[in-house]
Amino acid sequence: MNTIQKIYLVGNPNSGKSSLFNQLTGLEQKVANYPGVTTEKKTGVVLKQDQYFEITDLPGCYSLYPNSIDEKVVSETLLNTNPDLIIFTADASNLNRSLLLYTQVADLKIPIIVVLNMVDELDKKGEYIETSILEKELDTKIISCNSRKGKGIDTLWDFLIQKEYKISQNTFGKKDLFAEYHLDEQFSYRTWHEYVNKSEKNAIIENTKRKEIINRYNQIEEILSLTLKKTQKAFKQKMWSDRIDQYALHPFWGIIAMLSILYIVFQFLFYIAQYPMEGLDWSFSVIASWLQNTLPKGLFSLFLTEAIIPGISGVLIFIPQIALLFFMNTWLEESGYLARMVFLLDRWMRKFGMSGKSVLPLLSGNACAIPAIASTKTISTHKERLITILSIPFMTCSARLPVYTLLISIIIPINYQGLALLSLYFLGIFSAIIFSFVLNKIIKTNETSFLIMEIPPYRWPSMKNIFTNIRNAVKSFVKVAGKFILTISIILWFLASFGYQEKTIKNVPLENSFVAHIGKFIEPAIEPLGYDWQIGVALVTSFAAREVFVSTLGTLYNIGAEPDENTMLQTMKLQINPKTNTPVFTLATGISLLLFYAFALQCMSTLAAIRKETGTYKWAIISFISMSILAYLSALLSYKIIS
Amino acid sequence: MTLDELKKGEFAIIESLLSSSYKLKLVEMGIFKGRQIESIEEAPFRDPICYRVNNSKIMLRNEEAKSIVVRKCENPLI
Ligand SMILES: Nc1nc2c(ncn2[C@@H]2O[C@H](COP(=O)(O)OP(=O)(O)OP(=O)(O)O)[C@@H](O)[C@H]2O)c(=O)[nH]1
Ligand SMILES: [Mg+2]
Repeated sequence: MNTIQKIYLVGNPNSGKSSLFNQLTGLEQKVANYPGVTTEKKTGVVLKQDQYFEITDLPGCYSLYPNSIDEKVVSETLLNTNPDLIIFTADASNLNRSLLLYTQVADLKIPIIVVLNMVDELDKKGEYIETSILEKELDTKIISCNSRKGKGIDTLWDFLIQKEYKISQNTFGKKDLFAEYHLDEQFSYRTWHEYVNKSEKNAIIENTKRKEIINRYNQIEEILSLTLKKTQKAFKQKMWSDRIDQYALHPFWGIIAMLSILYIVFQFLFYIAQYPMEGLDWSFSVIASWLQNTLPKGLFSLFLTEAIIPGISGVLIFIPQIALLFFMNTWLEESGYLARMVFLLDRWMRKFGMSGKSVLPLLSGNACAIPAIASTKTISTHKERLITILSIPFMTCSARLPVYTLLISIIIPINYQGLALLSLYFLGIFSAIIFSFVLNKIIKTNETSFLIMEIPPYRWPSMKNIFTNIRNAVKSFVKVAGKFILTISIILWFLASFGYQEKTIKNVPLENSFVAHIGKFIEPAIEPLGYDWQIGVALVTSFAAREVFVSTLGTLYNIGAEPDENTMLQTMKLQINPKTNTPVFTLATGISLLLFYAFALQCMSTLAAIRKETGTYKWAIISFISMSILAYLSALLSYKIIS
Repeated sequence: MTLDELKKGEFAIIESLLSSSYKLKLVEMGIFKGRQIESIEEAPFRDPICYRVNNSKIMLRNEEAKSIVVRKCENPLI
């Protein structure tokens, strides 16, 4: 009785599979108005009326003949496993293309049900579907849904719980289409696919595939002439999407609009974010000094005020900025604008060995490189995909943001801070481009690259998605803070407060502590860059994660300092290099550090992602080494030039 | 003529597809003989171009558009 029902979500890209998955499982798969968001399988288990349902969200595809790695996931999963049911999500406003895939999947003879999604948009177009006729023509059950608002989900659950799953008896891929292959008497569409997978790709098979698809489209046209009806409204209205696109896709106005949008994003990221950040910074310094004054003096109070609070606060104050970044990102993705950027930028991307489809991975690299690298699966040629993967780590990910913001606030006058951050973002983009240009010259290929991509209609971003994205981003940011930053702060505080003196381990001044010895050991390597040993230690610890740089300095500069109400920024500005008796953070060291962080690939998870997606350690090692060398040299050069 | 020669706002009927590695992909997207296609927007330097076909907007590079042979039609079918 209590067997698990295995259910797959299958459908065209951007038809709302992940939205439906989220509705059914309560999980938070990424949803965006862009074809090709989901690139890997994701499973969730739900217990409903004493019955377990294992629901799997799959990438989208247009047919069972894959063109890219994410599409291959679908056909392989369908051909090699046996689900109890397929929920086929059809975009009701684009039924004829949805049904192409439906007829193929139904021909595999797996129990299937159709969810007609986005009925709200069909309605706006002034069209409707005669569901009862369509049910007969397709020989399947149809449930209308709006998986964004959650309408129709209850009906779907009722059906799932009843477990009256049926295989469609209609076969669309007619046997005689494949007659010349003499497959066998018991011919099934599944045998055909097995045959195709076994055989070398050749012109005869390709020809049959095309004939098959055209034949399916012709049958679909007949079905739709019976079921898809237009109301009077349909003939009059011009979609507002089209009106916007007259400008958004215009060769001149389109570019202007794109630049303005990006400009606004950066304005937000710096000017607006700075107010809540300053507030948080101030409150943490108040808390720290209050604790220092009220707690009984002792190791514990030192531990709290010197290790825990500076470590955590140094990073937590960046939450507003992270939230804003993801707010902007979600807007770009959910509105459908991203697909327009692909259109406007494809020609330029090609010059660097990439494709318009590299725009989404590169842009999301501005948030975090790891999902960005996974999202390259939609790019159909190996070379374009590899170049995109290797360029992503140059983009300014949100872990760099705390480091940048901190350094900028120390060395750049307030009026130019926004501009400085903007330049760093451009530096990221620019170096990604140069890097890809070089790779493009080195890597050879004989694949033909192509761009055949759908531009989805504009959609008003759903507040729910915006907040889910922000919440998840902040959550994972804080999680990193909890994991790396807290542990490293604690270890660091111990190493910085204690030292080996008179043959025992004792509480000693910073200069004699363990960490000072370690720092002094690294010093020769970083002295040419103009850093003190504290920065040296921070550079090393930040190999765990970039944000750790900020918390490390917070801890190191706070230890042994007099209790005061200085915020982190003020403390850093006041640091004096004991060797030269000049401030540590000058324009020269600041710029040199900024460049170091712009180029160094200090993120283990990114390296792991590169290895996973390229399939070899080779590219992870190559990018780590080349970016490290680049970071060191540019830091050195900039310091020498400026000072 | 081939599809890349179609000007913005013009309609055409697809006559045939020249052979290419993406021919099947075009067919999947509803681009094959007998279908109507309209050129709607052009990116800078007319590449890529956005077409309306099969009830959706699809972008194609010039390279791909060159592999699609079309016949211009004055009066669009609905
Ligand atoms: N108007 C409307 N929009 C919807 C509906 N369902 C989903 N959407 C929107 O459609 C877009 C695509 O949704 P996703 O759930 O990401 O689609 P998907 O099928 O998972 O897409 P891929 O992962 O790219 O294959 C998002 O912008 C959703 O908010 C619906 O019923 N009505
Ligand atoms: Mg999805």
